Amino acid sequence: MNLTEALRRKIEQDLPMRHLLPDRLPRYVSSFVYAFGILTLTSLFVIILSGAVMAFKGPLWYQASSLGFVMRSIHFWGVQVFFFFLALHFFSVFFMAGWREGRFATWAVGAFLLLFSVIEAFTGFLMEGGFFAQWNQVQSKDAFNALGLSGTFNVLNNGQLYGLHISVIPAILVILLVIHILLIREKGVVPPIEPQRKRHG
Amino acid sequence: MAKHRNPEDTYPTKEGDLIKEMIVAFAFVTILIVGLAFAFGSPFDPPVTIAHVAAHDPVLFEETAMRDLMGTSAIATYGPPYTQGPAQQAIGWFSPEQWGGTSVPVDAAQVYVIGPLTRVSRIDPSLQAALAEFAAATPAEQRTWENGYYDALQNATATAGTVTIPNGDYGPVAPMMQSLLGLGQSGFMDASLNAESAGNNGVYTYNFGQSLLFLQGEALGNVAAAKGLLGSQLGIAKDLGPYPGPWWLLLYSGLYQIPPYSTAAAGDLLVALTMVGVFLVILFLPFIPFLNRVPYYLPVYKLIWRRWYRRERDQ
Repeated sequence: MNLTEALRRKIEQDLPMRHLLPDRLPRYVSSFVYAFGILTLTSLFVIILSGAVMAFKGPLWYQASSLGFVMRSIHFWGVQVFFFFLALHFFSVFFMAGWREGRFATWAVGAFLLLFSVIEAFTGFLMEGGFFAQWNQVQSKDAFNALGLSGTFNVLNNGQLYGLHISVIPAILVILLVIHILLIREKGVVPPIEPQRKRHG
Repeated sequence: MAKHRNPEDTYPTKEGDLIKEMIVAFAFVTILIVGLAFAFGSPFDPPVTIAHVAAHDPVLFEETAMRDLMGTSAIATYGPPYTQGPAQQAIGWFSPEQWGGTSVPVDAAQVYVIGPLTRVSRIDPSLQAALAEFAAATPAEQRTWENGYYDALQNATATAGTVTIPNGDYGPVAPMMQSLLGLGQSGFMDASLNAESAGNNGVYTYNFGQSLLFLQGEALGNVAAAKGLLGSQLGIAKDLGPYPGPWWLLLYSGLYQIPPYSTAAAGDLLVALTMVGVFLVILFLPFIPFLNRVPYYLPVYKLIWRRWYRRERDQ
């Protein structure tokens, strides 16, 4: 079996270009709730861009220079806006029962995206370099200790937090995000619930 | 299982432009986020260092160090992963904390008192006699000096960064504490502990574990209480002052406010396990009876797709 050919056939069958980049969408896609996902995604772009500038310049820059502090503030508010739209996206997909008709994988990947987003933000808050970070490091260590994880993930080790925050978890997030979007494009936007049937699909 | 066709092939369609939507959304959130950043900045309070505590509350510094020397501090009695002994977090036989072992060992007396003083004694030979006397003493003698000094600290006064304690026989403990206080105030104790944490001859001092574990009790707790950030005040889900914090952790910090989480000895383990459970519920929600019907019981969907339903009805 030619694996390359098999992959090409699979993509051509499941995700043709007209579904990957559609210029026509189902008529029922007509509500502001459909903006929440794309607003979450684009907030993440702002977070990644501001985070890349901060990583390039290093921690002292964003804690000790005025321009660095501006970038730090953009990163901070980016996270607030990201989670605001993420929460709206989560609840709107829930109320649309967005897992219907073969979309459980999309939902599951979204759940992992939520989990890793929380971990990513958590590691970021623990590295902001002030009292808040110190206090939450010593407070949160107890839960990780309780799960026996501190030998693996030591929240008091800023070197480990930094590596996780700027490379490992963002890489996981981006990979999951690509899978999430490809699944959405493959399955299409979930159709309206038929009120008279109310059947779980 | 029947394969569902993409609704873009089966439902009536209209023109759409996802790329244009993304560009507009990106412009919108960029303006929003940059505007918030310029309008409000971001929260920042300087970190608390051992030097700061030693300078501003020398009695608290010495009490903290004494508890470490006596083996009664929170870190000295923590159990895994820092010390040998039974884990505090266990539900019957279920104790991942115990299973994780002493993965981050901390010998509090050695790390926070004897070790730093031994290093200082190389440049302060007068300390060598005190350390030698302490090391040569029997455990009972050490205990007598330590208890005497610790009790005396309760009636100590601090003036201009120095501690004055009532007269008594504290053996070598008094000069040891005086020297440690000076070391703390100089800032070298932070540097020494963090260099030691690096475990690499002091290169790459990114691990602040040892200095944080020294400060974790009253030293940081008093500051946190003044800022309303204690665990009993929803701590981790809040930020400094009026700024929004990680509000998405409200469930996590909220659990600590209610029994049994707030009262159980294994509260941390219960909270951690509950959060693992919450994630599994979210993950498998489409298969969980009742929960997967909630969208049908609370017909928010009728609002979301109201135009579609109206169009369907009118046709």
